[in-house]
Amino acid sequence: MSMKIWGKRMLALACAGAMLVPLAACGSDADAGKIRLSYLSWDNEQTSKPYIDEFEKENPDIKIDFSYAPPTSEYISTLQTRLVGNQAPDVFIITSENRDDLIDNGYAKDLTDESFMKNISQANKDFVGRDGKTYGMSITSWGSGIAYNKDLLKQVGYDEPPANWDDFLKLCKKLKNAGIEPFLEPNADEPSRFIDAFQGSILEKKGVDPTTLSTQDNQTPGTDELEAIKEYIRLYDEGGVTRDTVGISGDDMKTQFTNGQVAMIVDGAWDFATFEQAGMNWDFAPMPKLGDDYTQYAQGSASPAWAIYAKLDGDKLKAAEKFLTFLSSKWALQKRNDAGDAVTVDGFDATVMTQYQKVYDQDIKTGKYYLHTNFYSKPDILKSELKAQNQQLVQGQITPDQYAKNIDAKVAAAQ
Amino acid sequence: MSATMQGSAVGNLPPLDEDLYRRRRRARGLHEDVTSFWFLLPILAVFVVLFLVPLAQTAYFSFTDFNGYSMDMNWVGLDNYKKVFTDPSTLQGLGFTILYAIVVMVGVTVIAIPLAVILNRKFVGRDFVRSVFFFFSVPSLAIMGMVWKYIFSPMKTGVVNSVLAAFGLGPVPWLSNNSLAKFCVIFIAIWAQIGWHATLYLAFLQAIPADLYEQATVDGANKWQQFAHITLPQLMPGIVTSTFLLMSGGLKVYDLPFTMTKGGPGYSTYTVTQSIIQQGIGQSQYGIGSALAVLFFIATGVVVFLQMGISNLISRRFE
Repeated sequence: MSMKIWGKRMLALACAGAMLVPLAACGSDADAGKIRLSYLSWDNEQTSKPYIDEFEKENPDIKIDFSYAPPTSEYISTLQTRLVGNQAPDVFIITSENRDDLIDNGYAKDLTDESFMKNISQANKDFVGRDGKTYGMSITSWGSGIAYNKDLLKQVGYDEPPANWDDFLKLCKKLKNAGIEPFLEPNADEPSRFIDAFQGSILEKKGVDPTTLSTQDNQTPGTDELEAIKEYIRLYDEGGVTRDTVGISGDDMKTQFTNGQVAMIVDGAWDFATFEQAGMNWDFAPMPKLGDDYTQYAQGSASPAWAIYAKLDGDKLKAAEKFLTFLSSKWALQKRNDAGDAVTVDGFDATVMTQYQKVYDQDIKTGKYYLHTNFYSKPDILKSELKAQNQQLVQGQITPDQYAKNIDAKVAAAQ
Repeated sequence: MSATMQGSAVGNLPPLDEDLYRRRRRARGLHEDVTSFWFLLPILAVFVVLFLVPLAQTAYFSFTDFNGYSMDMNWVGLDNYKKVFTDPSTLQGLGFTILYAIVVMVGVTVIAIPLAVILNRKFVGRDFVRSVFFFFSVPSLAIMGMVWKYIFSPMKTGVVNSVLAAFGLGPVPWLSNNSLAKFCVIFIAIWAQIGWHATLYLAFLQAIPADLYEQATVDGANKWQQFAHITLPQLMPGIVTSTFLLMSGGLKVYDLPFTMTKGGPGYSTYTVTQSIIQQGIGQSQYGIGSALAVLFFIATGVVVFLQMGISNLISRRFE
């Protein structure tokens, strides 16, 4: 072998060796001997880091291997790939879109009797539960309501939106006649939030437990909400709200509202910071109820929950349980609360923004919130079909009965 | 010249030497083939791993109820294919995809060729104008969709509606009306792509010998006759390339309609690719998504080969 070739080989070997140096640093001495817990989050690193740092400080024998995928479809497909590829994270997120698949395929551990589940509210347990068992720990909830421009409402003699649906429609008409855009909802992005709020109160009046809906053999989510649909479409038929909402996204709606071009929008706490920054005179009211015979409901849901991989055992399982215990600790709940999340853990005294207080007290704390897709199998299919049919309904291309029939047919085909 | 010399040299050799020469030539050819194979091996490996293997897997999954969560799947025969053909949203998506591909292909071609002819002439600021048209195709269609969503907002405050209001006209429900939403998506696709395809045609135009036009002028041909009998036939290879790219790209379209309308209102701007992604990945119906992908692969292949065949027939007519 010539010196030239020998020299080249030595150089290549040195380069390869140099590339291994950073890898060696990955398993640094500081973490040697620690229990490594993998956690696939859908909150980014900036949001998650304070919790992880505090947990590792309190548990110096555990190291969290953090990874992140953004919600919702990207998170679900990332988790799916890791589960099928035997690279399952030890702690991950369970939510309505992957709940049935994770439970059916035995990926999520039954957490029902765990000590950290003791103070979790029943509505949050129901969200990730089945047959009396709970498969995730959800500590916050959200509810939507009516964000309104106080100055524009004052122009037609109102201080706040009325609590009844009939009166709400009258207000819309009055605003329209005064040349003010009364109301907008982002139908280009999602099905109407009103329908869910109405459906929650209709089910309560009928005495139907929504958690039983997904156990039915032939699910009919369209027909089930027909009464709510017929009430909802009055917004366009009687309230004079523009049918152009079909082409309006959440961002469009928000921009219109902060620019003072619309009196009311249907929204949630996630946009409050934008309203504050805009310096507008605004407030937030609960969703109107159908009538005096009905209980007022919000469209809302428990937030996604943390789940533990079902095949964990030994030290790793203990570490995962410690992590969930920490995430439901007073320190972590307060941190969540400070970040603006509506904590719904029993015994925790949450504080929310003044504008959100009424919805928090009336709907979230009492569990008076409902999200149609949470209570049927194949929620992802249902959600996209609800949006498409909602758009056609608002356009006037289909009747409420056709809406119900189309939804039922889609879900039946998927089942 | 050299071939003739070589041929005569071979012809003068005794029979045994000629045989030896042929064997050597065959051996050299084989050696060259083996060398070419080694050069092609990396790309062949990439093709097999990234294309053929996933294609075979997709075909297999299309006959199963694979849900992405468990490798224990059941053979369901043609069930997924039946569902594809009976799902109204998928059929609507197929309809819009075909409409989009054809209208965009025709629209871009009809506008890009005259544009290229104009850009090929000498005028002040020609390079700047060429750059402006080409610039439209630089940003991705996904970005275009997000920007144009605001421009075509159906609200009074939308950019186009504000301009119309300045002329005393009422707002137009651009993205909230099925037909107008389709128009908007197709319009932007044409607008965004004409510059790139005009540049392609420009390259072909510049390769046409100037003496052809000089001879035609001497023979008394007018501008239209020169365009119809010289420019257009000479552009045929460019037209074949351009329409092939437009048709194959149009059938696979996803980004522009998704960012602009998310497939709505209803399913009016829904596309087959969106359906594959939504049903397959988004809704964990990998079996149905795979069946749709297989059918779409075959359909796209047939359409593109048909289009290439027709284009070649037309181009041969002009040879």
